[in-house]
Amino acid sequence: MPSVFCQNDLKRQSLFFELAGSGGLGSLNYEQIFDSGKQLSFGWRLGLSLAPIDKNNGIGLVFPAMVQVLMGRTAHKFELGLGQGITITTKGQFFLLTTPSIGYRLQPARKNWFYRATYTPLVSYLADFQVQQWAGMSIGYTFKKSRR
Amino acid sequence: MKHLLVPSLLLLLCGACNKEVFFDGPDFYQDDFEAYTSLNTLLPPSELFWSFNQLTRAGNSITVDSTKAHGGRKSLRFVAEKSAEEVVSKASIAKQNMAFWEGETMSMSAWYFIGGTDSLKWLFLMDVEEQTPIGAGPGMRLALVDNQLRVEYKFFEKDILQIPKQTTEMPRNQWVELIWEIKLSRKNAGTVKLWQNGKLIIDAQNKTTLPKDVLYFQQGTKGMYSSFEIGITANSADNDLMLWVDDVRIEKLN
Repeated sequence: MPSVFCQNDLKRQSLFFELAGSGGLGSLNYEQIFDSGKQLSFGWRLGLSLAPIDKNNGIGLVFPAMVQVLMGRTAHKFELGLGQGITITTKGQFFLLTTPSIGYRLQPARKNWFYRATYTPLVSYLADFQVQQWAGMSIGYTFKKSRR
Repeated sequence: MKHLLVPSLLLLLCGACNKEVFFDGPDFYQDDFEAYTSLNTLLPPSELFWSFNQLTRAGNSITVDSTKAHGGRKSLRFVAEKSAEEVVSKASIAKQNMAFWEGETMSMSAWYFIGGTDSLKWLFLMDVEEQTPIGAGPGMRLALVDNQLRVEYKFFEKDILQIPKQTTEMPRNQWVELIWEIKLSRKNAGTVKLWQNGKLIIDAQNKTTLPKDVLYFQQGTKGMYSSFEIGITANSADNDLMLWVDDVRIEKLN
């Protein structure tokens, strides 16, 4: 009975759009929760964002790739994440930023839509150490709930 | 390509640990152009003198010229067609891989001779930049607007203009000495000074003078300038232009 599922039996896949956040100005993301317990759920996400630079330097294709943990039994969850923002430009340049995140997620168990608000600093560590203060808001849809 | 990725990243990570050693370079260069015979002799593969030139339109050129000189017998002559919407017209030479770090004061000086009296709105004469893996060479540059010099940023800061009602026009058809001094700061502790023929025409305090990373648009800034460009670094869209440059000097002051 899908309506009375128990969280720890499920593997969830979602798509969400994050305004600002770990992908820069905005990103479209795929997320998979691969291990769910009563208190903790573990997952990963991979996103795509664009960063147009200029005619000479091309467009940056940005791939925020992160692992994350959700904490909480109810619809109100605390979320922690860590990953890399991978940039590859159309002119062949490559660079990495670290993308930690900490925030809140509203995800009722019986609904498909979820919402996130996260603090997502962008941390430069190659060449120089810099922290850019940044945050994001997301809306997402869990489109598949399959039993393992 | 793949086998270079991991070593490259490790090298960059080492750079972050000790960036002032890893990205070190000269902080002094001067040139009177007397030793050259052609543009190619300015640009040896070793980058002993200049690193590269930019000629973005068919009619643009850079030549070692002995018809005009400030000191000695030679100067560099730059010719550029006017800029068009689709392409910025450039005729310039640049020196890369230098190192001027946050907290230091750098000084750039050169003699310019701008020919003709035609209108030249937004003519760029001298650029200083940081070389970054991702981004469009953030830095600062000298712009001539309505025949008056100003300092323009290539990152998100407001232009620095001369004090209104005390402005000085840049003379044409004569040699003009420009000395541009910048105290480098990623916060607002920098200063910018510009002398034209010995007269201080810009004196700005508490300025941000170095770029920082900006989301994913500009990555890999290190708190330094490493590249210096002279000539017609971008021509105005008003008219074609010919100018001469002589006795260039870039140095760290403190």
